[in-house]
Amino acid sequence: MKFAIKTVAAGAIGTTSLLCATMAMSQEKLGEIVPELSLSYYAADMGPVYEQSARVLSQEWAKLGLKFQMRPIQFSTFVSDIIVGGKLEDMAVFSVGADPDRIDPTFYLNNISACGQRANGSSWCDDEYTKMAEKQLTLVDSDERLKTVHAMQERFQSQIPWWPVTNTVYGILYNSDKWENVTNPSPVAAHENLVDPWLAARPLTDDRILDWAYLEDVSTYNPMSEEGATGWMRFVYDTFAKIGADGESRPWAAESWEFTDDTTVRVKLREDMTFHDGEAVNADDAVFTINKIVEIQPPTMSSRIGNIAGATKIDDYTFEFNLKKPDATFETIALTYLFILPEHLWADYEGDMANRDVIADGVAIGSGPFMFKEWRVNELHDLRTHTSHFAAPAYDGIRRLALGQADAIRATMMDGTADIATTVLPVAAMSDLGAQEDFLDFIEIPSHGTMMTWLNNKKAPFTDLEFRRALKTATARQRAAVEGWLGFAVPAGEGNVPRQTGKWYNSDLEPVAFDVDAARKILEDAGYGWDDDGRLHYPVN
Amino acid sequence: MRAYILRRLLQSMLVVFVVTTIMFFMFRVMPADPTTMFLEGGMTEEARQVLLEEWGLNGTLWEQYVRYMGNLLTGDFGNSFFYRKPAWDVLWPFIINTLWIAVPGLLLGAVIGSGLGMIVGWAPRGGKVERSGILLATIIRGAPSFVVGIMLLAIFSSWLNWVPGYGMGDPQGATGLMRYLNWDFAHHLILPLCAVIIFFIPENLLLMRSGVVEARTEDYIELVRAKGVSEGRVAWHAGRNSMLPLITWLFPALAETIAGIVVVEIVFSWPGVGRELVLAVVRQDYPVAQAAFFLMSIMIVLANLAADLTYSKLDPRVVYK
Repeated sequence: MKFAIKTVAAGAIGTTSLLCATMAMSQEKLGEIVPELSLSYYAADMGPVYEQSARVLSQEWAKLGLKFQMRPIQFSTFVSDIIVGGKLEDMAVFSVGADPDRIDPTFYLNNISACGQRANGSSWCDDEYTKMAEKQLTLVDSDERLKTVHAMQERFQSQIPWWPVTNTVYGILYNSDKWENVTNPSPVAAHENLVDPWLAARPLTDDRILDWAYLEDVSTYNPMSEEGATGWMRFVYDTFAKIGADGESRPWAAESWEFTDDTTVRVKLREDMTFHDGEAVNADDAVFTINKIVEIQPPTMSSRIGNIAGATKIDDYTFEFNLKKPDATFETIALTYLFILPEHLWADYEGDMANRDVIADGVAIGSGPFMFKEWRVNELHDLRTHTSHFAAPAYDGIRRLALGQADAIRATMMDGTADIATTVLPVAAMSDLGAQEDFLDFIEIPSHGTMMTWLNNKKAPFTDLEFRRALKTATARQRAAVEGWLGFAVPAGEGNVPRQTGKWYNSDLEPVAFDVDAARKILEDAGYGWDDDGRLHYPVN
Repeated sequence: MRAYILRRLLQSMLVVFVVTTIMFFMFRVMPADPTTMFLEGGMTEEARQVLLEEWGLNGTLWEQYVRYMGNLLTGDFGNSFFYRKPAWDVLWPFIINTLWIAVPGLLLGAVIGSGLGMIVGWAPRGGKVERSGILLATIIRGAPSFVVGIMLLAIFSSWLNWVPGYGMGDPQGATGLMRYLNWDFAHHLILPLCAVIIFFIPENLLLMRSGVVEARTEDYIELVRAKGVSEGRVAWHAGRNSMLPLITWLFPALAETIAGIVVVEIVFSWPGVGRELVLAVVRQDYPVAQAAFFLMSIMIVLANLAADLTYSKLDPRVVYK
């Protein structure tokens, strides 16, 4: 009996020891614990969608055994520290807007993805990719460029240094009792630099002024120093080209243009243009403006004019841009941005042109579809239609009501003071108002604006491709679109170029489906493991 | 008296100097600099350096401080980073707009508040009127001004549609001086003005009530009553003699109004100095924000000084040494 008890006791001790040993061995197979990761995102000053999206995404990533420290960061600090400051600690969730010039893929391919770029906050540096990025900028031939752009996306997709999560849906709310033909500018957000919907709209009543409920972000009517409201400036000052609803550049003040060699762009101006004071627009004005800009280098224009060496007149309506090096983006980024100043009003000015107070001097005069009438700061901007413009709208003017906040914009739309609202009023609120009120219509604008996940590619665990692959596989793009953005976003495609840019997006990229189990399997196969608390550990080596 | 004024002026200058210094360093230690917005747009480093130099943000912090204070002594607040013109030129039109709601709001708040305070103070102690009055004042005083503003907006603008809830006038309305002298302007003025009046009622009500409660036990009140005048006339005597603290409070309150009116201007999209101040901080437009704070500190200091000096005039028992 004693023997039997001893035997059982010994057996029990032995089993326990074996279990302990097994557990110890399994613990020994785990490497260091993956530390808590910091997840930065735009704070509430940019609306609630980023907080909500970051929480939704981190909930799914947490199923991989990760823990997150949530870090909301005010917009300007986010830009200076994370986007351009290189201070991304671990991960970030944020978005970039659907600006017209980002219809060209360079922003996504080069500015935020290539080695040495200031806005490459995820610090990924791949030499092969960067060579392609530099090359695509110089390929003036569109077909050749397209091949390189697609190849870059394949390279990017194979490395997964960061990835897009959702593409933003913007909105327009307008008074359909008073206006018709309010056209959709998709895939670009409603931006004054576009024809749609601004110049296409038609009045249905005697009220022939289009009142736009917005906020105050115009700092001056001098286009050489205005940076935030560049589109509004281009209502007054014509550009050489405009971006159409198809995302392509279309002739505007320039009737046509062509690359005569890799660094020369010959531009033919329209012959029927006049400035708002009645003087004709000709090549002298264009050449004067371009050469002045090159000479004085206004700081706010630096990102678009760095490659321009100057301009040369050919005849009264023809001139050439001389570039320092070939630039495939010139058409989309420079021709849609550069403007024409009246030489007769600027040539004799001896002060600092970039800081000239054009309203005080009475020279807020361009050749654009609208003429400056009045600016009451923080109240309204009043522009009147330049009726002799080749694309003059079918109404008498446009007023921008500089309102303080979304409630005021809502009120102006409801009482009929304003005719159109774009941003500031949340898209969901615009959609609701459009559904509730018979006289208000809502237009949904699927755009290339992108919310993305950035990783610090210089720091473990993000230096491990398999970890990045697992994290992307566990990225709940659909949830972020529905729960984070209340449905006013769509799950993004693959690679780094938005699907909405059309031909530039490489649709052959293999889709990565959301699958947490598959993500855990990727980690397991790469040697990662989990402890009893479910926390993820690095591979032993 | 002269020595006292001189001493107070020196103290006031010291306060303004300290406030200006704190404001200067407060903006400089913020994590992002004003060129940040341009960087997101792709501004080159060379261009950024040009802007920093143009805006006086180059050199050490100490060098910037000495430069700023030197300019300030000559009345130069610097150029707005956003509007590219002198900060003062940016601010003064907004100051006028703010005064339209600040001064009438303060005065009407004082009249209505002190009137109510007299009624509450004269009412039987512990009775319904006193309890309701104190409760009302406490609730309004405790409610953030944006809550009061939004409630006014929701009820009188959105729901009843009686008055506009935003801006200073119809976009198609008159311009120049005439824009202030018409019904449209007055119509737009109603809600923000009411918000400011409501903001000032509790302070006035409670101050007046305390004075009246104290005065009603004074011998002279019994004397007035013994003359056989009406009870309302007796209350008026008590109220009139309780106005001293109220009048002296009005001076700093005016400065407080300018500083505290920010929320009202934001809620009602009123183009005043408070709304511009918030925009200047968001845009990191240091010169405009610093000029606005400088102005406020001057006003508060001068208002306090005026209050002290007026006190001796109103109450001969007060002697300055």
